[in-house]
Amino acid sequence: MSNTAVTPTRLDDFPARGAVIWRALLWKEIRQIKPLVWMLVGISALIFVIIAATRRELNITLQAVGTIIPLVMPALFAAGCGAILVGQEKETRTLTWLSSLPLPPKYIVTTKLVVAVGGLLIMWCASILLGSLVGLAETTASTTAFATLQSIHPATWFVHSIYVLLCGFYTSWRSRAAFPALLGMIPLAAVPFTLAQLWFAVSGDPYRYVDSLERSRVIAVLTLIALPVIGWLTFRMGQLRLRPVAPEKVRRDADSQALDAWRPPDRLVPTEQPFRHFTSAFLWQAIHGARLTVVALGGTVIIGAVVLWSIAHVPAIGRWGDTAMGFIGLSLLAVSWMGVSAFTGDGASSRLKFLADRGVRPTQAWLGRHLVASCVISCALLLYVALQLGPRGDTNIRVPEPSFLLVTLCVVTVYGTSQWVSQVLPMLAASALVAPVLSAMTLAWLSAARGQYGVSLGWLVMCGTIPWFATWLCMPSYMDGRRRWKFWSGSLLAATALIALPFVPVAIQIRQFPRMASSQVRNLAPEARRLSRDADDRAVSIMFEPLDSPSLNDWMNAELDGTESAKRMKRRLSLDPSDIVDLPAPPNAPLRADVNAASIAIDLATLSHLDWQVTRDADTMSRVVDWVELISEMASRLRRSIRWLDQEVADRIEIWLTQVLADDDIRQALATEEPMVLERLRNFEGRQTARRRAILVSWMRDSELEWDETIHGVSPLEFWFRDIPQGYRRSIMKQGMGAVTSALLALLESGNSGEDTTPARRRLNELIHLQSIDFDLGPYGDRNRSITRRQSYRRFENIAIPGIQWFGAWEYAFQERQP
Amino acid sequence: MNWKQPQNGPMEIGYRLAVCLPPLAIGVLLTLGFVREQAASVRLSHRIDALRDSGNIISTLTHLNAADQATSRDGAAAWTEILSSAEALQFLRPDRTTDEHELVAPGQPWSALPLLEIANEASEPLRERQEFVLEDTSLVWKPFEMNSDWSAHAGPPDLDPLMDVLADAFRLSVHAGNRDHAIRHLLMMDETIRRFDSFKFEPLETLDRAYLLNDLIRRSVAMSFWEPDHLADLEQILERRTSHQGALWENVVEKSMSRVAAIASVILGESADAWFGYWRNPHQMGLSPLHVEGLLNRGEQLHDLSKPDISILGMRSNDDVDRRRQLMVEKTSLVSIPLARNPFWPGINPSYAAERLIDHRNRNRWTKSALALRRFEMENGRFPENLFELQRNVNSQDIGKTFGGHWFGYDRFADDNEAFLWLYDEYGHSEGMRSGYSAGRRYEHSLDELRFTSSAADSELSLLPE
Repeated sequence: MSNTAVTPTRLDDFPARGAVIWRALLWKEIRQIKPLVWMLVGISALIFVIIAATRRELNITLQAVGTIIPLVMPALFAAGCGAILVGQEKETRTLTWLSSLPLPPKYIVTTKLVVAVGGLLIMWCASILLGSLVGLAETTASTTAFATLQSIHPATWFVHSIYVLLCGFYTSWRSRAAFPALLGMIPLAAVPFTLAQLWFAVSGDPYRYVDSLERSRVIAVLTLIALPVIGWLTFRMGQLRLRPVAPEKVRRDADSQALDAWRPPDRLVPTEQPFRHFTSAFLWQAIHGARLTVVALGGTVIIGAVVLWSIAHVPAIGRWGDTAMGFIGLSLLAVSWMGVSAFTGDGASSRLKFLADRGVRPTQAWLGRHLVASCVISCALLLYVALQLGPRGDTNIRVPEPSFLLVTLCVVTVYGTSQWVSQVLPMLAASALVAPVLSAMTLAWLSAARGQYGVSLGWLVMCGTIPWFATWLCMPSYMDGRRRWKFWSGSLLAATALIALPFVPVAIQIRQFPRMASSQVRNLAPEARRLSRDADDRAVSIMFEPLDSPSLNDWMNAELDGTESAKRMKRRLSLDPSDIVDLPAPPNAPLRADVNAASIAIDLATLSHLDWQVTRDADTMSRVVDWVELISEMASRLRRSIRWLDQEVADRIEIWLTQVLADDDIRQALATEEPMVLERLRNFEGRQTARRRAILVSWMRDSELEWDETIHGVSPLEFWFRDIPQGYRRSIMKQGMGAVTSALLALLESGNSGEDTTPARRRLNELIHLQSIDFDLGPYGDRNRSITRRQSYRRFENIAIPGIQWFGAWEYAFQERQP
Repeated sequence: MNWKQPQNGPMEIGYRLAVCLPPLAIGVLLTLGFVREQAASVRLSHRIDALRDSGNIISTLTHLNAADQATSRDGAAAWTEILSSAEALQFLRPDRTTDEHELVAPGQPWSALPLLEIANEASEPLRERQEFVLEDTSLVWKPFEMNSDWSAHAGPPDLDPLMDVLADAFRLSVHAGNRDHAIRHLLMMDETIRRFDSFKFEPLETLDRAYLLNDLIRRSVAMSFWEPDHLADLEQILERRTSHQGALWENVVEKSMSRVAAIASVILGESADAWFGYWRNPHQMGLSPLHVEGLLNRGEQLHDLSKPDISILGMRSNDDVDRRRQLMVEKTSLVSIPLARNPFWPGINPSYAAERLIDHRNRNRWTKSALALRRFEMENGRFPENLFELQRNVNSQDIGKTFGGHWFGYDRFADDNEAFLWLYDEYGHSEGMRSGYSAGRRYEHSLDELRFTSSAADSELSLLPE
């Protein structure tokens, strides 16, 4: 039997070359899929590195984007695989060539599927590896989008990604072009979720709570059931498309007439220039090249605009909040794909090359490619603003309603980034998948710059135009199909500018923020280091004695019987001062302030003083003396502390002591029993030395901390620099502390030398960002300082602002020296 | 359409125009949005100037100077000691005790009695001192303070611990049947509130302080404790609280307007001598001149009312859609970032203050109605058929009705020996309902009701063997 008489139907029929053909097919598919794998792994790695490097300063939005990458990358691969292995081959006509080879179609279909599944597994492994390498697993992003995605078990995501891959293949085999295939895949991919929703709706109470494991399980089971179905459909569709094309039907003689040959053709032969303007040609091309795609994407964007408006205006939408948000996400995806279709897909590049050869200017072509998309998107925006300005329905005032400008900026950013990606990555499937991710990153990046870093809107709008400029400038190279160093270096430059430029104003702000002069740093550092080294580090905290142990109330918050409560109150009333407030040993160790303890001690001492004023008996006086002695010791030990905060608390306590000792009777009683109390109050120089030591050591120790570490009472408090946007406030804390230290030293100097302290206090008022409060009314102003503490009802207000009571009248109360 | 005709030029132009128009319209709309904001800021600037000139908004400095002049610093130190001591007493008594806040009739068992006796003994010097200090009738000076959150405000001291001390003393007096002592403590509470009522900018805080006083009066009246003479004293206390509220309303409006003006100053880039409130950076919060203009409109709407009008309520009501729509005076901005309408900020929306004020007023009317009810019962030996009869008897429209004209809840039982009076708010809501049967009749009352017993029934009760 001769070989030519047999049509080979199986590879086994080519016994000698079977393995070679298998290898050849595999080699071809792997070569085709490799760019997608590298690109996705590369982008994931880049994003991971950015996130790992900047995690400490990242805001929640960016963290959320970062944390969903491990899940998104395999999903993107699954979605794009079919478009690359089948869609692209259709577009480049290599599939026709492949189908003409003497190979059974099922082997071509099988090889493509095997390579795709293999690639998917590699993507999963790479994602897990990269994720664990940069420690994303440790991110505590429980409130981010990742948490929502995590509510479905990773195993379910894995099964679903295989399902999506098969859907992609199915639509790619089925559809003529790659873009409609991508569009058609979305509803198919959502089938298991929709079925799961339906399942929960019909299987019992529709409002019952469904936990994440149950949801995952149901979705996984439904996906597993759908897998063989879609697999079979894919396989069949592939075989169908690879079959030899049926020959055109020859008209039977009965249908043809002799006159046919003389009739003019149905359509006129096109004139040489069908349109007067090239723009019209572009429009025609954009609309008629892929009418369905334009309608589907445009429709989605317009529906998205209506849904966005309805969230704040249609109360019923509240129950469908997640679905509405999903729709808005989908319409942003549509905007992104419109951007992608500007320079990729439907043979755009070859058409542009055709036009370039005929002398169309790049700017004209650039505008022409954007016209339809910008028209559709503008119509959606106009619809949104018309609804917003139209007759008001029942406005749900609690739902924030984004402004027209905000929506426009978001849409323009997404579209701009996507069209840039499509010019840089000419492969449709790749840019269709990468563009939405990069658009989301750009949006998050720019909104972080605005919301967290306070960068001006005008500057950000300017940065947002970079992708537009990039595609416009690169248009000549793109049209000519020349992608050389100029094209790539231009793109790289634009990418770098888009990443760096939004934060340039922040860098300038940080540079301009006040700091201690370097000469002063040089002068003060040795002294500060010496003081820090010599400081007594045995500091202890003020303790409350356990007054009611076991404390029934503290633990159970229960109501007590009146008799039991009375017993406990009686016991408290009989306690001595040292039973209530304990200043722990060793007796000369520095004390760390506890404002609550100090405040209660002062309240109780005041109560004793008031009792004495009414009763005037010796017992009460001795109790007052005990309290005053204890509080005085508290202040004296706080002065030994190296924290600036403790000096402030000591100030307030000494102000109270000054007031109480103004009472002659008490002063006399103390003079005999506790002379130290008066001595301590008179020690003006000692107080200034303690203050200087505390601010210098606090400054030195704060500057030696890691950049994001703080020590309460030593470091500055965050509200000091409240006008600095949250995003970079941490970055200026240390230099801010330097500037405050410098101003406090100036205040000490002027106070010690008897000069006017107002300029130094004004400087502090500015530094601690109290501009919105007039100096005269603010904590450093004279009005506030002139209030004797006795007239104030809160003794510890503004306690965390350093130096506001320094050199007040109270400091000179018991000495010769006067301000 | 046949595109192959090269002479189709006009059609082609129309086609191109149709595609280019929407993006152009976006540009035009955005420009219009910015122009509107600019125009609004010019208008706003003029309006704020006019308001400042007419004295309808005031600055912090003006306010503080006025407060300094109206008050005396002499008693401030003594008051500090008293308030500080009251806090110390609170510290010494940390337990939550059964029945401690109840008002218990003379001779009735009271679980918290031992505790209150000790607490009262401990607070005696304090009360003695307070009585002495109260002899000085001038208003007490207060420092200007800021809280830790930098929401600068003229901080009133916390009077609650002191009020609790006085309330305990009152409860003990009621239980002991000592009407003179009881009335003395109520008067001390009233006087204390008045001494600290110097801050024009804290009118609502003053109302909050009177909450406990009102509650004690109401409950003591319901339990048939007072003699007719004492009822007159109580009415006087209430009258003082009510007469105060007209001025309070003006202050509420002034304060709201001043806040809006302060925000407007920041938006307009002026760091003027405005009343600074808690919104340090309105730009960051996304307020635009148009939004502030909407707030100002609302403020002016309130300002035109000589008293709190019920028609301005409703912002908080979920179910009153029509009213809410009518009240929406805020404006839609095209170009503010991020939001088109101003976020719903109670702090600068004068409606909230008005709502609180009306709520206080209604509680006051509730107390007054309770007093009228007791007086009716004392005079007629029975409770009235309904609140209409009570209103006719006292010849006052304020009795038995809320500010918005809703009747309070009223019911009477068991051969006229028991009556119930409760408060519905302006939306017809009360503190939850309880229902049941009494004497074969179904009833549905508020959980927050006052249960009145007739004087005759009480005397019968006290004759019952234990």
